[in-house]
Amino acid sequence: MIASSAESSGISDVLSADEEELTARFSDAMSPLKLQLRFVAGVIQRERLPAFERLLWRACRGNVFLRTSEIDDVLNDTVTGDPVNKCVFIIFFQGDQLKTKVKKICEGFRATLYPCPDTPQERREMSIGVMTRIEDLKTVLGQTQDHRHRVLVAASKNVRMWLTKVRKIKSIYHTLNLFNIDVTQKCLIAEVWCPIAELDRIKMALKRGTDESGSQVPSILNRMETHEAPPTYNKTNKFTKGFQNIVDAYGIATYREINPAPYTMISFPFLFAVMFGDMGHGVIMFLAALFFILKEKQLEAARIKDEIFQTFFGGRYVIFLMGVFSIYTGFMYNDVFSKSINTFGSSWRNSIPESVIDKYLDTEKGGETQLMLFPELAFDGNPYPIGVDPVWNLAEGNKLSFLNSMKMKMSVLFGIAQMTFGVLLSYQNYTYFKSDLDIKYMFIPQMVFLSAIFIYLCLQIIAKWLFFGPFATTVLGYTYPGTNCAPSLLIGLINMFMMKSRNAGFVDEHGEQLPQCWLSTWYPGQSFFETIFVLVAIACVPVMLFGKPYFLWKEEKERREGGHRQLATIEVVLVVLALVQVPIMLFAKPYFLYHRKKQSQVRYSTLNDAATTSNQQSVRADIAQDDAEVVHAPEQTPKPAGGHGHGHGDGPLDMGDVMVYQAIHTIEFVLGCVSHTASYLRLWALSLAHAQLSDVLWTMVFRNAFVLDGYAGAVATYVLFFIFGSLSVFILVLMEGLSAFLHALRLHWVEFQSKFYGGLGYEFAPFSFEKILAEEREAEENL
Amino acid sequence: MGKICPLMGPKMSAFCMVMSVWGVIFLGLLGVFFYIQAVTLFPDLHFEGEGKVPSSVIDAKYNEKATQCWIAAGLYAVTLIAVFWQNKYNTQQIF
Repeated sequence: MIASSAESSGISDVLSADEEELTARFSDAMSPLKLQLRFVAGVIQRERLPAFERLLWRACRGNVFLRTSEIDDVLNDTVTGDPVNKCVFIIFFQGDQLKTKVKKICEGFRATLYPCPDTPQERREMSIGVMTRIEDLKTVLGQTQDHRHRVLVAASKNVRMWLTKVRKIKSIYHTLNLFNIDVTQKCLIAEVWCPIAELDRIKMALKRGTDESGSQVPSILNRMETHEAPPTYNKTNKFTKGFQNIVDAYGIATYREINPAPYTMISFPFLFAVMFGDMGHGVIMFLAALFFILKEKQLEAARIKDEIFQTFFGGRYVIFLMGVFSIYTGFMYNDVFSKSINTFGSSWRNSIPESVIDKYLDTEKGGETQLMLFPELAFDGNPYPIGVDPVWNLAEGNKLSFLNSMKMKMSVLFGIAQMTFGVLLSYQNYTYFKSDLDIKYMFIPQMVFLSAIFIYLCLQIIAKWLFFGPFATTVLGYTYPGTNCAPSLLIGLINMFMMKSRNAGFVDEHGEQLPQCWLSTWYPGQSFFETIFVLVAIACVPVMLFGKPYFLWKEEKERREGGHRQLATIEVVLVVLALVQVPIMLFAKPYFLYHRKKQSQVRYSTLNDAATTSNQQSVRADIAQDDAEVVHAPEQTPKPAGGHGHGHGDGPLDMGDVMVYQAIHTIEFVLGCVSHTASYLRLWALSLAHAQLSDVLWTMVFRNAFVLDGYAGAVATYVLFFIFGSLSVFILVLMEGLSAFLHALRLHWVEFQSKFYGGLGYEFAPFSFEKILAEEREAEENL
Repeated sequence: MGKICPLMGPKMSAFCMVMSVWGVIFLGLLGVFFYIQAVTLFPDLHFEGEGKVPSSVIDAKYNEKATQCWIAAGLYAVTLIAVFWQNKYNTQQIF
């Protein structure tokens, strides 16, 4: 429409331009021919023009006159909408023959011809007519566009709501499609999982649905019995969600199994903080998490799609607790950006007289000498009230050996405490599942094993901390000469297993210190108790390994025997019957044959038939008997009653499976106790790494700021603090934090949860509009 | 309000703002600890030459380092104002 009107207006332009010139020329030279001279006008695609012109020239032998003019506006093809360039042309010719020829050529080139009146007046009128029509059409088009725009704007306000509605309805119908249709009752039946605690709310909702739909028949909700394992559903809120996610990432709890998430809430940030212990870095982490928590609503509304940010934001409560705990452990380690704070006053003082120090200072290079503070002289006997004494921060020589020994012992204590707690939780599981065998032959031997070796080790550590001070006293009945005789626990543990004979006490009868006094036993009867502990621990292994399988096997055997006793009489009867049948089969047929033969000697022909039929009947009877036995057979073996919650209850007991399962568990536990205890040493290792890294950052980077003096020093402090701060945040808080997080995660998944957690369940996924809409929105945003 | 000397975008200026606040607090406190002659900061002092150092020199050094920290803290306070101004007027991402 637009194109054609533009074309016609283009023609009128060309005509008005060419017309005067042509009329002038023709009126001068060719006035007699004026009447016969006629023309056609139209438009043609620009690229066709040269060919068109050539063909016109050739076909009409130069007897036509063509004038063209380009249309500057790019026109749109009315059908396809593609932009096309077109030209206006006018062809003058004489006579009808040429006219038909020209018209045919025009058709051939798909030129559009427009009627054009002969007289200028008519042309002018027509041009005016065309102009008004164009104006009219423009108004109509404008109005249409306006109207469309208004409609679309109105729709755009509602489109989100409509989409939401469509999605909701779609999801409802999708769920309805999963229902069973009961044709006879004309109703839909669905089997769903739901939390028992929510049954009332569901009933209320169904009732409301019935009321609102105006239906006369209420929906019926029935609880049904099932053998399928229900999904696991742990209620969470925004605080517990992060921790539940940590647990669920390992595996969803088996239905009704104990959920470690509540314990994880404390132990996870704590173990993290043990590895991340620094008050300064803890405060940074704490403040960052606090920012996330306080700005929770705004940040949620901002819907930042950065994945890393979302990870941190999702775990904001975890990070918050990690920060708080890090401040606490940093306080315990007395570490703030690798510096200590002397809050309560150190328990150590300088025991070396100044004269001695002066003597060292006077000599050449004497300033580099390392002097030792002997604890019996320099330590005042009252330990620093809480945490590590700040004096250790200045002990360049043995700061690490002291902290390492302390942190290692602490790691073992924490580790064994957590593992023992895990084993205790397994008791909760066993009592809940009423698995008596597991308590007797798994839990008890496990606890005994753990106590005899590892809890004993922990007690030794605590005893060593409590009793073996810096001063010579009597400890547990033995004379203790001093710190160099404090018992070595590691070698002591090895000797415990080797059952090596050791000296008792640290001094001989004359009060002389024994050589290698730290290897002696340090309480009366130590060798005896340790031998017993080792033997008990070793004795626990076969109990764990064979106890449960043996009792399962015994139970199975008893059950099988019980079943046989019931059937014994039936068996006897069957055997007697079978025995009786043997002579019958053997003699009955020959006897009857002989009998018949005697009775009817004449009818030889029928005798054979009768014999065959009787034969067939007996066969059939046999088959029938077999059938009866086959049907009977499954009833004879009684189904074993529900097993003891270990998955072997339904089928006959597979001894091989049970043994393999048990062996794996026993080996895992026994070896695990050793390797997991060693694994907890990562608490020490990461804590050491963190402390050292922050120490290096201070001494290698920040300390340089204090070498310069005056204003240069101030500027150096300004610049170096920026570097120090950035590195602290990015390396010590972010990177080290991530690594400590992963190690804490591992300690929970492997070392802690392996003691009690099956994690074989599947998640309860209720129908939720929120979830469906969130998914849809995410998909939409990702487009 | 047009952009006045746009040097950093919102993220950079936010980061610098946090660093400046931290710098003011941290260096201020560090100055205080130098001023009260905390023993734990003794290894950070730097002395020329060998031999015994009189305690008056140590005192002077502690005081000097305290002043140095406070000047740096002041510089961070200035930075904080500058960055705050940047953050306020150049909220648009410029890169």
